[in-house]
Amino acid sequence: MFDPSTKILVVDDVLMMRKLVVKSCQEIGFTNFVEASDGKIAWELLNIPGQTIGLIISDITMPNMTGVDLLRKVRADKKFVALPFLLVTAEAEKHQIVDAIQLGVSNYLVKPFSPDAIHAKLQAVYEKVTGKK
Amino acid sequence: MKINGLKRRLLALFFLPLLVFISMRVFPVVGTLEDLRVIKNYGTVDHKPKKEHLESALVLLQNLRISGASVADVVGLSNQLSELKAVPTDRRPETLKGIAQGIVGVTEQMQNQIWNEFAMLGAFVVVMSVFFIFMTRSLLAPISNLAASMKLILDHTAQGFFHFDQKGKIGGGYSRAAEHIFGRSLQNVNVATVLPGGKERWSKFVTDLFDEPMPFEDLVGLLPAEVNDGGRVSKFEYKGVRDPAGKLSEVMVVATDITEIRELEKQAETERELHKSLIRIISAKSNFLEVMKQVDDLQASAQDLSRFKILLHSLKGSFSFFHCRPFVELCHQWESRLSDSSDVVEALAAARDIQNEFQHFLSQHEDVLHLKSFTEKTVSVSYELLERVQSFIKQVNPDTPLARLVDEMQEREISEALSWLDEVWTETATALGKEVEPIKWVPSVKINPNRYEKMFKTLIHVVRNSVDHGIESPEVREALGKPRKGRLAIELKYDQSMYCLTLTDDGAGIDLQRVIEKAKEKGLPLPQSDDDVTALLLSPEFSTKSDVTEVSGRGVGLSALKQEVQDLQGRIRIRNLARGGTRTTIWFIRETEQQGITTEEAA
Repeated sequence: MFDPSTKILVVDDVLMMRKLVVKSCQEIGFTNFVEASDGKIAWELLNIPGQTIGLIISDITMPNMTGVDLLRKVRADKKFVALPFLLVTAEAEKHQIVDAIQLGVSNYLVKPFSPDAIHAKLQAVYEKVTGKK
Repeated sequence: MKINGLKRRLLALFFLPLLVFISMRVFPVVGTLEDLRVIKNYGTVDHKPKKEHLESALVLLQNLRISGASVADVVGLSNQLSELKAVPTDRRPETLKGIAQGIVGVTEQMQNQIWNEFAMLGAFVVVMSVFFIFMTRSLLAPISNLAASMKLILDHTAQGFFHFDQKGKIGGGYSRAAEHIFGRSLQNVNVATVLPGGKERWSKFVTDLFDEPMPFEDLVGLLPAEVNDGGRVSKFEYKGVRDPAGKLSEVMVVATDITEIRELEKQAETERELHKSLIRIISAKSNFLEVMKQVDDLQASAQDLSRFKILLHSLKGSFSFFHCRPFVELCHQWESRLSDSSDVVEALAAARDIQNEFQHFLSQHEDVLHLKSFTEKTVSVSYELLERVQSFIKQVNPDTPLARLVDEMQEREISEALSWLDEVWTETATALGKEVEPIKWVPSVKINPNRYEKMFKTLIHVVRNSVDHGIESPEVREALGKPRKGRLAIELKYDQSMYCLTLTDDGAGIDLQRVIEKAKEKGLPLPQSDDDVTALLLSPEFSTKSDVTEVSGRGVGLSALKQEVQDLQGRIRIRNLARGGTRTTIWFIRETEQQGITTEEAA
């Protein structure tokens, strides 16, 4: 599993949702978070020199830059090609994940989700990235 | 279908090389045979063979070269012919004849050899054919049986099965139900084209999915979980099929028709809505009366279209307050139809439509709503509160009409007080294979059921006895000229400070002969009067175990009734009626609060 000190970038325009993601991740042991209210800010945060983000959890529908656009931008950059990226989606938006698969999304979370669901998804992503349990 | 293809392929695999072999062997020989016939002619022409003829015959024979032996023979003959130059002319014809005979001999030998070969080839083909037939029969039979049973399963299973590979191509083995779900053939079809959302959305995904960019369960979580095609709803489940190396090779799709489940869910939801709505109506009666008035006003206000539209809109709001979804929708429909219409006729149609539907709704649920009670000015008081009032009056002034008034507040119609007997009556009849009309309640005085609860409970025995022993089977009743369905009437009257409850059925009546016989059996005093019969029927000794039926029990019921009625200082009379049937009459005192106290105090 990811190291608990892994810095997670949480992107969502709704403050409550960001808090929910952070709280859920805290419940499964993570301690290090950076928050952004849209894709554009997230991209700027990612590119701060010395920044060491190990995981992105992003909503899809946001002003300025959507989660899918952020994913596209992230994957286009050599530095972030392998950066684990989870999209958060509503049941009705699932078809956007279908498209995001081709862009290289690592996995997705369907709202509403439990800390257990996040844990399971992160575990799956970790196994995929590292090839070990 | 598949198995025939397999047979054809086997046939080709087996017979094509055979055919090639035969043609390679036969075709040159057919030409040779023709040549040999010509050569033989050369040798036998007029018994005077010419040297040129023989020469050309030998050249032909040499070219044929059927076998080593014949070649040697031909070479020998050819040498003989060349040596003829040295031989004297007069001996020539003889020699030529000899050579000609030699040629004929060789030719015949060759012909025989060819025919033998043909025969051998024919035998070979026959043997091979027999072998082939045997082989296909014995080898393919299990496969074709298996295929037939697989087809049977796939054609008749209610579940839709199909599977697709890395190219998205649907494999040949799928159930017919799968075709029904998509309403099309799945033969050689790409799965992306049949899934809802279409090729556009899925064609890349169904192939990418085999690379498993995320766990399989997460990937299939993105595929449609339900497919709704032409009103049928199917639930889709996806299972990964892996090769020995663990790589995903096929995705198996299992589709289950859940239309009925969905419909039941919808029905349950509609019913829940209805219940919610009825509860809301009952708990806000006065508001609902307002809605009823609005509906009544619809017709009159249709003349003024703008007023009508306002009324319609406010009605929609009211219906929505009462959770009456069908009416909200109906109002909405008419609202949109009338939105750009100035037709009074249409407004009238709307008014009529809504009124009709509303009337239908009210009459359908009248048993729950009791609309009459809506207009009555009633207030509900808890029984506990009433008792407190009573005990207060008891302490302050027990003799005033006030005490009687409080008692009256608790009184009910007899049909209401004993309503549970309706069920006892009809269900007992059904259990015994008899037919009955619903109980006829004769409205008269009211009674406070709380006061007579114990006695009322024992009435169940009177009703059960009436069905069990009184009412005849429908066939017997018909034969007797009675209506098929038995009847029971219950009436409560009031007479000189006594209640008088009668239960009258139109059954066979009490069998007096049997009562006397049984009294004899039991050693009980024989009845001398109608009252004696009643007393016997009510006595606990009268019934025996031999009388136990599932319905009427051990017959202690009537003695229990007797006990309860005695406690109420009453009496019971059971009589056969002249017109047939039995009447049970129960007199008991009308207990008032004071008497209640006296008995309590006496005890």
